[in-house]
Amino acid sequence: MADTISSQDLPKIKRNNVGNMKDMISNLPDGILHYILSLLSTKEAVRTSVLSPKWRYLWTQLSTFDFKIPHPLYETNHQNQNSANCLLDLVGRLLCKSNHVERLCVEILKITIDADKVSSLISSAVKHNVHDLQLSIDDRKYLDTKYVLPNCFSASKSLNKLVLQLGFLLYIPDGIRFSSLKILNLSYVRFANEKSVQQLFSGCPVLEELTLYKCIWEYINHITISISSLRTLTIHSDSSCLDYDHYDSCTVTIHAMNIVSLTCTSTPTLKFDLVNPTSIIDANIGIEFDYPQSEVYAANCVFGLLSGLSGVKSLTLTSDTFQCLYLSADTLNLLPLFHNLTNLHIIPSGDMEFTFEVLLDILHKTPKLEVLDIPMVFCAHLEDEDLTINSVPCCFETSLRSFCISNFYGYEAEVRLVKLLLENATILEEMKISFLECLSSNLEHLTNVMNQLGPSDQGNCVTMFQ
Amino acid sequence: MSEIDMSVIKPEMMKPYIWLQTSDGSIQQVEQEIAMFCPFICQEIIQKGTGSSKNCAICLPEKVSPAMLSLVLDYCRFHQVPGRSNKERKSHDEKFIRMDTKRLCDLTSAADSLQLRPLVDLTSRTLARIIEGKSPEEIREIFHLPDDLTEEEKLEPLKNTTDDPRIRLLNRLYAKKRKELKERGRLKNVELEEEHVDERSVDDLLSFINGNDGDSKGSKTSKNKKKNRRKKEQKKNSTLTEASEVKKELSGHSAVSDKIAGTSNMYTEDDTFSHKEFDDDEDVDDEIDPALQAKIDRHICSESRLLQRIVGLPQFTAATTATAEGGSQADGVAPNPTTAILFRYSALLTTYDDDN
Repeated sequence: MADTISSQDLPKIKRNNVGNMKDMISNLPDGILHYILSLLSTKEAVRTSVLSPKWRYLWTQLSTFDFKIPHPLYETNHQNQNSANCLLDLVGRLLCKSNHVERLCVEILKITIDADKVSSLISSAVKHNVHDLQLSIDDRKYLDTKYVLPNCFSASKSLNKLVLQLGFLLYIPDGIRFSSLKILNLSYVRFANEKSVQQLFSGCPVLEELTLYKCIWEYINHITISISSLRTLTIHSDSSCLDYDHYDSCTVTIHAMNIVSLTCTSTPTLKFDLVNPTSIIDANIGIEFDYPQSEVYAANCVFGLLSGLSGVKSLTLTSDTFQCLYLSADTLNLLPLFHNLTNLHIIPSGDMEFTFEVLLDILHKTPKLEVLDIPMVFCAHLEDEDLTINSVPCCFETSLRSFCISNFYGYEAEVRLVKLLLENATILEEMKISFLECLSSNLEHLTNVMNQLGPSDQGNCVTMFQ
Repeated sequence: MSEIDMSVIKPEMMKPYIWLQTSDGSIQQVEQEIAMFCPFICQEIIQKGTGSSKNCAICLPEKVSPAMLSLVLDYCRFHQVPGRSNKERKSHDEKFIRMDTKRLCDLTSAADSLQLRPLVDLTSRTLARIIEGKSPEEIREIFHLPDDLTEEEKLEPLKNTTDDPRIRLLNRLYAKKRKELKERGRLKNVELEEEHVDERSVDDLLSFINGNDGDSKGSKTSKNKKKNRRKKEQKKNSTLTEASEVKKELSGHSAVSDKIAGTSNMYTEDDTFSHKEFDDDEDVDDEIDPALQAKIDRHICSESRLLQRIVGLPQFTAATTATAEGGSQADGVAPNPTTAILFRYSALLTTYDDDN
């Protein structure tokens, strides 16, 4: 009788039956019904309002809402705009009536709506104590639309997290203040001028996490980030963020008083200036130059940045970043000693030209290295006898515990490196060599390589091949 | 249960069995260790000292029937053993939770009253999974939810603050339908046939609410505007009287809980039929030229058909043979209730202010 009903059975069930059966779920305590609704997507939860009168307003008591209008297939037309406006009105009304909204996400992309509606949504959200606000309102028609971020943010005592993706040309008003904002995430934001940027950052006195993702620096040459409470900073930019002619003129000055974790990825490179970087513990750098930047400029930028990071414990770099340095070979030697660095992780990127020489030079700068992870390594000059190492990096002998090479092809340089490690790395515990697909399928080459590597069990080292 | 609580218990109370009384009055003996996994039972033992004998059995909340208690205890029996891995617990839960929906709901209730949060979470998540991805119709079927938005409620006139001609039109349609219903009710009609499928997503609902401005609609509106302007006053009055009539109607009328398929006949193209309808209809358009009225009706028909086409509802056939007397066999799916649901949703937006 009351078996779980599959979708195929449904049409067969006569509606007459419903009258005889008692409603099984609506009598559950409201708290449980709210919990169930919170497990559904916002769309599904709102849909339950048509189930029966009891369910009509149940969804409005939820605390997290994710409203997204899917990308329209065609250009903005009246219908889409109506949906968008309708949605904004609904959200506004919801905020007014409900005391519980804590997390609100509204995403309306590729549909133009009035900037006024955005402002009223923001002021409504602020007024009703939303903790976590995410607004993604972007359409290329906004490109020249100026928008001043509403000052009502200053009145908010509860806003902890703000994620903004606004396609407008953004002006930040004077004196704006985000008194409780801990996490700020700006994506694709186009700042109108430097003053706006400064005003925004100085208005976040307790900010702990800042992310600038593909923000457009078209009108800006110099950005200063000086927030004393900041602990995590992520800056990601690509060629869409800068004006072609001004690739070389953008500088980011970071006052890293308390920053613990820094991530900078930019192609073409921005010039990063680190002030007081002693607190940084882990850094993730992915810098590459892009035409028409000069390689030398890029190398200088990378050098400057890496010099500032000499105190980090854990460093993740893309192979391209290293190659930038290599292009100005002398500068490598001028790098300071990374006296705290225990984990070095190199991610393959771009052309994956990661040369042996560069690796060795770096390893000479990392006396306390414990974990080394590289994608591959090869040598530009195969016949060069200098491939025989002058001096084994001291970390091999004193600190290296774990080594991993993820895209092993069997280049001579790779084989030499592995042999070098096996011979000299006395406290190496674990070596992991992952073969590239093309190597493992080429049996002949594989056996060749394995032979070259020689016996793999030496000392305490456990070698894993895969 | 904290360690502190446990240490406060006097040694003589640590008997291996306790007594529980379920909602039907029956008392059973249960291993104490297992029962203590439920905070409610734990509290009863510690704070009130009950459960140590048959005479002072712990009275469980009314939602806990013997069957539910047995399920809860099975759950506790597995989980109170400390040494199990997360994987084991998870796979046990997956098997445990396979039961029919009614039992699932009852179990949620029982677990909640026993304050056993992990089980409440498990059952709630399962219920959420059942609800996920289903249309409201399917959900109603599964949980036996009464679809008790009455016909009348669905047909309440919408607030037309912007004097939108479409809403005006719709209110007129509703007015007509209410009349129909009144007649049906008097003749003691019938039998509900088809299911209407309400698969609209919120987005569609929202987009629909503001109307779909296809080109064809545009021309229609302009045509209507002229007529509407002329009859504006009359319409306003008629809608007002309709509304007050309906209110009187609602208070005295017993709810018709099932949809009436025969209402689709309202949209027949048959001019004579609609004429007939209007001859009986005193409230609306008294002074309007019947020919003009027929024209308006035709517009209404095609407008609602257009609305359906746009929203993707199954087309209703005009070839229904239902007449004013009764007999409600309709070939096509009743379009109106669905449209009504959609506009009901917009009513939700507009009337929300009233209800709170």
